[in-house]
Amino acid sequence: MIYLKRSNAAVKKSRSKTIAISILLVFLFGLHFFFPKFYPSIFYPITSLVWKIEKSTVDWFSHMGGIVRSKYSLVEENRRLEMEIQTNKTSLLLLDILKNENLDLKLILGRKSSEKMVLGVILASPPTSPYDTAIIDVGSDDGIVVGDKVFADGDVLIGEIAEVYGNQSKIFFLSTPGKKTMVSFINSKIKTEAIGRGGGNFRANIPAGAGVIAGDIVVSADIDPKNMGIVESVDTDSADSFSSILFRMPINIYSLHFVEIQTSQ
Amino acid sequence: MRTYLNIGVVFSLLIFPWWITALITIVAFFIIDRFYEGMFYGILLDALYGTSFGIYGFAYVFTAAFLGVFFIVQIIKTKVMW
Repeated sequence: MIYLKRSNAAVKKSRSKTIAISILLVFLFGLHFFFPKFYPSIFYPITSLVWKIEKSTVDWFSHMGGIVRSKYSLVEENRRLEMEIQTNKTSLLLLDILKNENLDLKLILGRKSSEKMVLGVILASPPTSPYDTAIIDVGSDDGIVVGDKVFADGDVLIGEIAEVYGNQSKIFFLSTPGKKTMVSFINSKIKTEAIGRGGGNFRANIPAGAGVIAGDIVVSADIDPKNMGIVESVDTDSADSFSSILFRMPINIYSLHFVEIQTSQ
Repeated sequence: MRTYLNIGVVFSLLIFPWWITALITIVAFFIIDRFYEGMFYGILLDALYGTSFGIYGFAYVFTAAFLGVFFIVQIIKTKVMW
């Protein structure tokens, strides 16, 4: 009996194509694995352009939206903001006095700080970034180095510089899931390790009955404490000797436009 | 279709929330025959936005996720006719 031999040329071709693509993908992943800065250094100059165009377009639309808003709502908002300014003025005066006193004390103790602040515009941040990270438009050309502290609204410590490129840097927020940071609770003076939970949220464990309540201020546990968050809730289990504290940053990392980077260079 | 979806994923990766990018990529895995590019977009997401710490210490979340989805979709495609 004679059988016709089946042609498997197409199958072979498809298989070799799959193998070639797989090798290429492994190579592309290897590039990222061994040289983590390879892709960002190539793509950031291009993506920055896209992010800047997107930002200016969004700004233009929100500006136009503001123009067409009704006069009545603007008057109402103005009145509300004026009242808010009046209330904040008193608190700010007290804050200035305390800040100056703090600086004077540090000078007396020889802990003079020589850092300067660099303003950075956020190009991409959560939720575009799936990780708790943001890309800013300042980099090594502006004196930024890895490990520099990042602030929002002047005095709120939000993260650190993770990677630096010529004109861009990558920030990781302290609330990155799993990230551990030493914090201190202002009222109870307790220091503990806070674990990031993403989106500006943290969890910390402290001994039960330590006196931490919702609304307490959380600061970084170092010589120059910076505001890090406000306690949202305290969960105490009667069977447990520890309380679980949930706190969040006082700013919304999803709506940040600018950050300040404290650099020593 | 392949080209449009590729353009869509690239734009989404830069502008839209990450879950939209993930959604478009998963749809592309189903619609397009062997959407290998999807795995590269996973690498790109990790490279552009991730740090060495990643999430809970794992820095290749999207590479692994898209690779997993690719294989799952391939299996589903062989089992289900449409």
